[in-house]
Amino acid sequence: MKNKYSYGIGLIVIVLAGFFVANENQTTDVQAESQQQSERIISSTESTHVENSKEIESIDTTTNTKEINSRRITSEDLQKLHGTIPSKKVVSEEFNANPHTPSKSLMTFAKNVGPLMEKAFLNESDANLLMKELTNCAGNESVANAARALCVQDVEELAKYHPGLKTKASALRENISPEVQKILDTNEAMIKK
Amino acid sequence: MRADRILFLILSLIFLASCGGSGGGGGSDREETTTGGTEGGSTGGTTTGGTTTGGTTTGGSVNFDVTLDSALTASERSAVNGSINLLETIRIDGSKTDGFSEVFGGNSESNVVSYMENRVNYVVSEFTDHNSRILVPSSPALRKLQVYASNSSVLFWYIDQYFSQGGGAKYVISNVPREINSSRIGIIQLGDIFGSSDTITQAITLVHEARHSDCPDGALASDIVNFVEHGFSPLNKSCGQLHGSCGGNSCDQFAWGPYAIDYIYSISIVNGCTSCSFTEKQQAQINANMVQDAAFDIEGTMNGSHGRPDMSNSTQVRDDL
Repeated sequence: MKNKYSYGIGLIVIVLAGFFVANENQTTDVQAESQQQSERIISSTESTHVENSKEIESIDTTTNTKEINSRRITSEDLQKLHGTIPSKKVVSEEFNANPHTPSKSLMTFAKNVGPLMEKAFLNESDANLLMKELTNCAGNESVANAARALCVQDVEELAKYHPGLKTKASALRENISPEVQKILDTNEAMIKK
Repeated sequence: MRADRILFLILSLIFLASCGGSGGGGGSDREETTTGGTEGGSTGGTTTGGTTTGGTTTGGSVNFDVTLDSALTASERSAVNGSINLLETIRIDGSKTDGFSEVFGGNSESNVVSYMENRVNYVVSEFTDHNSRILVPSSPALRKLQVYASNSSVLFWYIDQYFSQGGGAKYVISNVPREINSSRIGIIQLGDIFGSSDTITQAITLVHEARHSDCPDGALASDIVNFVEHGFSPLNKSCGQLHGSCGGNSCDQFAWGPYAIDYIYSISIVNGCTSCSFTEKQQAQINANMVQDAAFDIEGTMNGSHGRPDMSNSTQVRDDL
C-alpha cells in the first residue's frame, strides 16, 4: 500500500515536471519564430523595389497568411480613413464646445492614419495607395487645416521611405494652400537645428 | 522522504505557482486617492492648501502627486490615472523643440512633471458642482458661480480674497475643506470627453490646464469684486492665463499662454518622444497643427519678440478700485 502511494506521488511529480518542460519549449519556439519574422520584415523594408505581394509571400513561407494580410492596406482601411477625414465645420464646433481639449475628430483621424502609415512604410504599393488618399485630403478646402497639414506631413514622410514618391510629395507641397503652408512652416521652425 | 510529506510539498508548489502577482500600487478603496506615482517611487509631494511641494525622484522617475476627489467616477479615475502614468513615464528629449526648456525649466519629461506638480493638486469630476464645494463665510455677496474653464483655480482664489477679512474661502475635496492660498490651488475639473479620449490627448489636456493655475502679475481688486458680486469675466486675463475670443474661437491673449504651452508640448512629443508610438505622435502632431493658431503670435513668441515666458506665480492684489 505504502509502495503504491509512493508510486502515485512519483507519477504526479513526473507529470508536473513534464508539463513544465513542455511549456518552456513552446515559449522558446514562439520566441524563435518571432525573431525570424522580425528579420524578414527588416529585410523587406530595406528593399524598396519589392512590389509584388506574391514575391513577399514566397519568401515568408513559414509566416501565417493572416499576419501577411494584416500588413497590407485594404480598400476597407482606406474607406474607413476617408470616413474620418474631419471637416472644418466639425472641428470648429468641437473646438468651441471643448476649447481645452484636442478635437475628437482630429484625434480619430490621426489614430486611423497612424497604423496605415506604418504599413505603408513597409512597401511602396501600399504607400502609393495611401498617398492618393492623403493627397486628396491635403487638397480639399473643406477639410480642417490641421488635418490637411498632417496629410502633407505624412506624404513627405512616406517619400522618405520610398524615394520614388519624392516628386509627388514635392509637387503637393508646392501647390498647398497658404494657410496649410503656414502651419507646416511654423512647425518646422520649432525644430532646433 | 515520507510520501505524505512529498505530497504536501507538491501541493504547496502548485498553490504558490497559481497565485498571480498582485497589481501595482495606486487605486484603493479609500474615499480619497492620492496617486503614488510609478512603482518604486514614494510620494514625496505633500499638499497643504495651495502649496504643493515637488514629488521625489526615485530611480530616475519623477512622481506627479495629485489628489483625486472621492466623487470621481470609476472611469474618470481610471482615465486620470492613465494620463498621470503617461506624464510620468513618457520619454521626451525637449532639447529638440524650441521653447521647451523655457517653459518647463529643463529638457526632460521630469521637468514637465515638476511643472504639473506646481500647478495641479486636485482633480474633480465633470459632474461636480463647484457651488456645492466652495465654503465661504455667510454672505449674500457671492452669486452663483459660473466657471469659464476646466481649471477655475484663479476664480476660487478670487473668492477667497474677497472673503479674506472673514477667514477666506475653502474648497471641499473628498469631504475635507482645503485652504485656497493662491491660484495654484490647482483644481482641475474633467470635461465630458476626457474619459473617452486617448491617454496622449488626456496628457496634453492636463498640461494645457495646468497653465491656467498661473497668475504671474497678480490680481486686480476690481476683477475680484466684479467677479464675486456680478459674475463678470476678469479683465486681467494674465491672472489665470485666461483665453479670449479670436473670430469666435477660443485663443490666448498673450504670449506663452496655455495654447502656446499646449503647442510646445505637442511638438516636443512629435520631435523628441522616444517612448511614444507612431500613432501617438500623429495625434500630438495634429493637435499641434490645430492649436498653433490659437496661441498668440507663436512665430513671434518663438523668435523672442515677446521675451521669455513668465512661469512664476504671484499672490499680490493690486488695488485699482
